[in-house]
Amino acid sequence: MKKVTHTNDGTNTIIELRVRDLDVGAVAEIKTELESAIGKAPRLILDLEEVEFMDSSGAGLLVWLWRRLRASESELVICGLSQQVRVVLDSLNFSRLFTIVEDCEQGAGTDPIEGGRDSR
Amino acid sequence: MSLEETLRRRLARERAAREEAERLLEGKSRELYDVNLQLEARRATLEQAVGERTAELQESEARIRAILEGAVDGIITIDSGGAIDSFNAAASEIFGYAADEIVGCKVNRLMPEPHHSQHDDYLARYIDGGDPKVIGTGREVVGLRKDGATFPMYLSVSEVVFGDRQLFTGIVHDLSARKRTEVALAEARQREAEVGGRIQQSLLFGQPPLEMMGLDVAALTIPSQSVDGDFFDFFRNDDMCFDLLIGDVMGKGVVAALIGAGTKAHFLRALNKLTTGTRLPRLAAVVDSVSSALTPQLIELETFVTTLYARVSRATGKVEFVDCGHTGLIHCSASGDQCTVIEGHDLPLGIIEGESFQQVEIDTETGDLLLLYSDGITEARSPSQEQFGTARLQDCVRRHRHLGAQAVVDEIRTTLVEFSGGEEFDDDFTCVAIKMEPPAPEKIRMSSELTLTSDVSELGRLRTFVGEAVSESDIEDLGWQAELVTAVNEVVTNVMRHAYHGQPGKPIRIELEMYPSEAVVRICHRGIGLKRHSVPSPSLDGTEDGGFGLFLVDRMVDRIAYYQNEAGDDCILLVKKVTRP
Repeated sequence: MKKVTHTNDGTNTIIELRVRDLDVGAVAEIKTELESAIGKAPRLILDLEEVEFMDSSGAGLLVWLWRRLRASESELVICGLSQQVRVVLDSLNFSRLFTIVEDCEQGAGTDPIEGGRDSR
Repeated sequence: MSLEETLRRRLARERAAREEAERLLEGKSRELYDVNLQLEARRATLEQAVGERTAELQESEARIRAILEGAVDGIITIDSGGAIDSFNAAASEIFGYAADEIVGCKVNRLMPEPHHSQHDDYLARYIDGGDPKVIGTGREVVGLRKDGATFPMYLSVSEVVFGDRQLFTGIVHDLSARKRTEVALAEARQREAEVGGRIQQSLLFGQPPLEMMGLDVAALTIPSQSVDGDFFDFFRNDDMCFDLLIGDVMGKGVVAALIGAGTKAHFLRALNKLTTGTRLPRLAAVVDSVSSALTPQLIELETFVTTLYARVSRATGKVEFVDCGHTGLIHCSASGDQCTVIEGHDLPLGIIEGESFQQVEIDTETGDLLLLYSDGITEARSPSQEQFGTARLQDCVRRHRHLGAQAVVDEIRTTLVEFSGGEEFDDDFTCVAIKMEPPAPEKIRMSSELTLTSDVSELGRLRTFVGEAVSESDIEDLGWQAELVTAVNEVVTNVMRHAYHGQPGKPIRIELEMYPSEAVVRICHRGIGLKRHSVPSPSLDGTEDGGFGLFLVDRMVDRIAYYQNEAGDDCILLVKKVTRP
C-alpha cells in the first residue's frame, strides 16, 4: 500500500502521509514516494493527520522537503499535527522554516501564512 | 813584386782566413755543445717532475677510487645523456648490480615508474636551463633494485663540469633500515600511548556515583595525545555522601599514570583504615596518612602530585576539602550572585615529609553547583595563544548553573573546543560537576521493564511500552509523556544504529521507574559504548536534514548519564521531571 497519496488543484499539492509512525523505519520509503509528488504546484500542503509519532529522522525528512521546495520557490504548509509531532517540531523551532496550521482544511485557504505561523 | 811572391802572400792570407774560420767554427760548436748539454739537463729535470706529478696523480686517483669504493653511500655518476659513467661498490651493494654490468646503461634502470619513464625528460629539461628539482639538494625518493624490489633512499645530486663534459654525481643512502627502525619506534610509542591510555581509562578515572539522593554528579575527561597524570575517583559513603579525589601527577606518560593510580590506591586504603564502623575519618587525617606513606617515595621519584580531596554531604549541605596545591573548586550559588574559586593552602604531596594538612569547609544549598577541575582546562590556549583562564571557566559555570551536572560538563567541553579551535589538546582535561538537588528521598511509584531486539520494527512496541507505563502513573500529563516517549525512542534508535551498527537481533533492555516528581529510564545494551559526543551535533539552519536526535533528547529530558551497569553493559540513563516547579 502506498504511504503517500497526493492531489493537485494547480495551486496546491496536498500530500497525505498514510503512516502512523513517521520514524527511522518509514522515512526512506516515504522520501522515494514524495519525490514524484513535489514541485507541481506553488504550495505543498503536507497532511500529517494520520501520523501519531515522529522521530528525529522524520524531522529530517521535513527539512529535506522544505529545502527541495525552497529550491523551486514553493511554499510548504504542514497540518494535522499530533501532540507528539507538535512537541518535536516546537523543540526544533521548525515553525521558522515552514507554516504550521492546526486544521488541514484551513491549509488550502487564501492566506495560510498569517493565520497559521506557529499558532501555538 | 814577383808573381810568385804575390801568390805566396795570397795563399798565406787565405790560410789565415781559413784558420780564423776554423777557429770561429770550433768556438761555435763548443757553444752549441754547451747549449745542448744545458737543454738535456733541463729536459731531465722536467721529465723527473712529470714523472713525479704522474705518480702523484696516480696516487690521488687511486685514493679517490679507494674513497669512492670504500664509501658507505652509493655514488653513481652519469653523463648528460643519462648513461651511467661510474658505479661504486656501495651502489652495487644497494642496487644489486655489479659495476661492469650497469656502467653504460641508462640510470633510469635504478628507479621505478613514473620516474623510470620521465627521467630523460628531467635531464633534458635541466640541461635546457629548466628548474632543477633535485640538483644541489637532497630528497627522499624510491629506488629500484635489480631483483625488482623498491626501497626508500635519500638521494643528493650534484653537477660537475669536466672539460666539455657535463657529469652528474648522485649519492644514494639506503633508508630501508632507518625506515624499519622508525616504524618500530613509532609502533613502540603508539603501544606506550595505548597502554597509558588503558591505564588512564581503567585505573585513573572512577565512575561518578549514580543515584545519589539529592546529588547529581558528572565527570568529563578529554585525554590528551600523550598520557598525562590526571586522575579522579569517587568513594561512596552512603546515599547522600561521597568522597571525591581529583589530582594531577607532575609529568607525563606511563610513569605519571602509574603514580596517579598508586596515589588513588593510597587514598582508598587510608580511608578504609581510618574508618571505624560508619564513622568517617576527618579528611585532613586521611591526607596526613597518605602523605606520610607516599611522600618519601615521591621524593625518590623526583615528582609530586597535586590533589583536591573533598567530601560532599547532602544531608548537612557541607562540602569539606583539603587542597594540596590543586586548582581549588568553583562554588556557584543557585541565584548566580556568588560564583567563586575557593582554594586551600597546602603543598602538593611529595614535597615535604611530615607535613600536616588543613581542611576547608563551605556550606551549600539546594541548586548550588560545584566544579572541580584540572589546570588543563584553565591553561588551554586559543589559536592566538591566549589562555582560557579561570574567569572564563567561572563565567561558563555561572551561565549554566541551572543545568544538570552532565549538561554543565558538556557545556564546558563545548566552550573549550570552540575556544581552542579543535578537539585535540596538549593537556588532559578533567572536571567534575556536582549539583545540589532537593534532598528529600522519593518513594517509587512503579517500575516496569522491557527487552527488545535491535530491529527498527521493535520501535513501535517500545513506544507503546513507555506510553502505557507513564500513563499508569496517574501524574497529570502536561506534555511530559510525549517528550519522554520521544527521547527514549531517539536513544534506542541511536543504540540500534551506532552501538550495534544496524545489526539486527541484539538485545536492548529498558527499565522505567516512576517517582512522584520524575521518571527514570535506563537503556542498557551490549554494543559499543556510546558517549555523548560520538554523534555530531546538528545544525538547525535547515542545511542538514539529519543529526537532530541527540538535540531532541537534550531538549526532552532533564538529565542524561552514560554509565556501565554491574553486568558490564553500557547504559544510558534518562531522567524526566514530571511536575513543573
